[in-house]
Amino acid sequence: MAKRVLQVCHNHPRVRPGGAEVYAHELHRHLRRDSEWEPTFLARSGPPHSPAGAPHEGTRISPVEGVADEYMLYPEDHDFDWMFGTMRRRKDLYTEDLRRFLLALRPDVVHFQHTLFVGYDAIREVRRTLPGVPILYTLHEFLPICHNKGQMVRTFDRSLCEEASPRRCAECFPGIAADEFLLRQRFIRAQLDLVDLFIAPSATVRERFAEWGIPRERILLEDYGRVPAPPAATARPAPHDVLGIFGQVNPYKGVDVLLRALQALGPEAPPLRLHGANLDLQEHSFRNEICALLASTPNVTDAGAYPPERAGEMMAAVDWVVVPSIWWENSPLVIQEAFAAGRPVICSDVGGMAEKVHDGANGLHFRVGDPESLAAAIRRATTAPGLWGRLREGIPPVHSMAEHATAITAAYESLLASRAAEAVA
Amino acid sequence: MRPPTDSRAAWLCEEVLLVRERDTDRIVPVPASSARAGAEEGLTDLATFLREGAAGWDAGTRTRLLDHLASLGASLGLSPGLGEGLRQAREVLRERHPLAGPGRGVAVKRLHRIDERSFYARGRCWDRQAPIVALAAVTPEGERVELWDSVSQLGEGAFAGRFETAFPTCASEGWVFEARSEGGSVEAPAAVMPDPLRTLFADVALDPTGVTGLCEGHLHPALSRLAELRRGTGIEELFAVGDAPRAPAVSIVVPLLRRVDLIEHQLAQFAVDPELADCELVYVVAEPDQAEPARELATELYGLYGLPLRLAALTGPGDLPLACERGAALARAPRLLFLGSDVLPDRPGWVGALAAALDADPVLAAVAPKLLFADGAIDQAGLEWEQAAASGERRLRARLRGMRRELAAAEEARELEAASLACLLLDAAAYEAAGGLRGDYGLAGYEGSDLARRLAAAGRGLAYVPTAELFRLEGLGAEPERLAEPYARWLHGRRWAGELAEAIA
Repeated sequence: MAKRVLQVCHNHPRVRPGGAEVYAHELHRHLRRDSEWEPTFLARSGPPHSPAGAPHEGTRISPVEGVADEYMLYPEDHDFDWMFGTMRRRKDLYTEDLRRFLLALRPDVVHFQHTLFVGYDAIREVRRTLPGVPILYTLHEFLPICHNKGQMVRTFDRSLCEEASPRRCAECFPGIAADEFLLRQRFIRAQLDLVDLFIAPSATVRERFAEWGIPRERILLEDYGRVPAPPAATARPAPHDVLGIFGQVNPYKGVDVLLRALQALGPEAPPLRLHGANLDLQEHSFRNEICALLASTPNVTDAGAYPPERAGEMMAAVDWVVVPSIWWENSPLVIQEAFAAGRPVICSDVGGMAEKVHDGANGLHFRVGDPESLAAAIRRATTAPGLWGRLREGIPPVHSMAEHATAITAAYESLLASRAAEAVA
Repeated sequence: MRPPTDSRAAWLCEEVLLVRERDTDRIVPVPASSARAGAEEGLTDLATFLREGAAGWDAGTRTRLLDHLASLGASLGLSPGLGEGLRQAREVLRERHPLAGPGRGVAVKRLHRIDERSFYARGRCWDRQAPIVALAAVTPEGERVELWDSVSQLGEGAFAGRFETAFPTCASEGWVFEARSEGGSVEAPAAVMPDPLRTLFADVALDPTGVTGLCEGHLHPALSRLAELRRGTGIEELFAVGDAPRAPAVSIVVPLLRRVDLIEHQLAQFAVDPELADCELVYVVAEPDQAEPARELATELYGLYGLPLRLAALTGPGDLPLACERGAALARAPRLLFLGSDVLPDRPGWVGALAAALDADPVLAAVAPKLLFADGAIDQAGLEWEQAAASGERRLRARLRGMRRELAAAEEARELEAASLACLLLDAAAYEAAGGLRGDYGLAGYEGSDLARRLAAAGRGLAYVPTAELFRLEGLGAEPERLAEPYARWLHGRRWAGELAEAIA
């Protein structure tokens, strides 16, 4: 009989596409299609991301219409406590709805992709209801460590944060006492301590969580896998001077840094294709700032959001993909997409970006958050003879979903074998 | 000449008819049950009756009638109807004064109820031309209490003090304070304010040297009375969930004030500590209105964490020491551990470390751990007495506060003079023999010090255990210590001054 794995995710790409949920769902579909595992996908849904709440009286879990192995979980979003990542009052979400679901499904492995809007308590519920079942948890950003949306960026000046501590966190949130941050850290750690194995897509994330106290041996370094993109990745004729930026437009993605760099270049500024998403969800002041920069920067084409399945096609229309984030990033999917499309990357020199893109080998680094430094990198990229071709040659093969799924299922098997050995002992 | 009238009677309330005697014109209250037939002849409303009946009376006569009526509250019981009737009577009969005169005035900053017949007031009255000779409080029901000779006079017309009424009074609104000098009288309205403890604790600072007797004569009796009232509060066990050990080694009593959500944070830590399996966990809600939210939360949390626990609530308003004291009465184990709800263990094993220290030395009756701030600095390695260099005052302070947790001095086990109730493991029998907590300091540290002194008097000791480390998160809404500290210090000194002087010397 096939072994069952339950993946729990904070969102379903059908409701709202986002990097982590798209990846998690692709892994789920790959396991369904190409593995001996029987996967189930449980994604949080409901307001505000989806207009509809739980469709059936008496349960907060319902199947996704027309799909055999996917379910939606409908917690009350207003009860979710952002500070502690838990339901404030409705613990029966775990002790009733989730418990019934777990007992009905009886998975052999539970893999948490994300617990935002679900709550860290869901981990405890799994451990309590299915004591022998291995639990995995993928670390998509620093949310358990950092209350500032998991970015590890200081709130007051957007500088990078190297280390969370109750006192430092209280500096970022003057309205919250340092004691509350210790409480937060202890509470989240108490739940995460029940996890058997963490998956870190980058060494950056693994090291940060190890420093935070998760034993390093319990963190598996395993990058995201990509479903192969359609073969749109052809070389482009010179000049190689078209820049592209892809993904969310929010205060941490550095779109403003790129626009300022282009302004600094003046008439030398190369064309930019902007494939941005979710600017409309950002705070008013940030939206105004970006709109003003866009209006005053020449040669920028607002090319609209990019559906993940069309990434290759859209990247084929540019020469360089720019990733100017001012936060650490984990393992940006956009870098994998750029590499899959055969495009060198110009990125900030920190965190997961610097880890995945090697300066001078398959891309260029610039000083994080510094428009002048980025302007210099762009000037070099667009004028240095032969550079584009050389860097393109250095692009490594992309980690495929098949390779990734093999590694993930091997981890499942290994944990099950350890459990079996413990049971015999 | 009083104008001729037919108004001969009016209802003061449902139970009392006021009748004007035809022969003497005196107004007398008659119980409804014994009102003679025809007594209601000429019945009118209360205000009209009193205006007509008392018109032409001098102020003294009206005041005597008011006093007489106010006394009905004592003999009949102050029903809402009687209270309202008395308030109406007072409005008609009371001599009114201006709110302020030239250079004259009276103001009441604080008026608090201690019980139904005792109050505390703080204010100021002044006259630039002549000394104040009288100050009176007039209750909403019309009773007049002279204060000037009994309150503490704090200079420049400021006064503060506790006073008692002869008759019960229950209304919060409608108080009047009158001040009189040779230049005339003035008055000011006042209303009873909530939270007397805050004012009483703060007012200790008004007379730091004790020269006016404010603390001894007013604050201490008021605070003692409030503590006495609190002691009348009982405890009710709301539920017990899970299979608690039949014979627990330790009963952990956690008082809950304001933030019942802290239960969840403690359970998240206790759930990973195997030593908790031998412990009985008793949460005590100190505010009755928090009992239901606490019950709902505890039920849900039991479903998630599966840790057996008992939940109890005080039956009336209380404070942390009272919740500890009442919770201790429910405890079954030979070891009793008081634990603040804002205290989180740094790691498992802390109960065992404390218990081992207590077991190792039969002289010991209590042990306290190392308490840390959120940033890991020491909050307290026990408490100690010190003499302030400048003022010479003896005060209780947190030992090694602010130092690194690994400091050599913080790593040494030692005897202690005192420890707070934030985390204190006790021999339950010794605790009971010592009489438990006093419950009147308003500050856990001084409660702990007092208890330690009584244990010491019985030949039992208190020690510090550095291997047990817990975080104490004062920033979670706990009352600032500085508010209650001056009174607690004064009270502790009053009880233990001689021994403390000896100890410091």
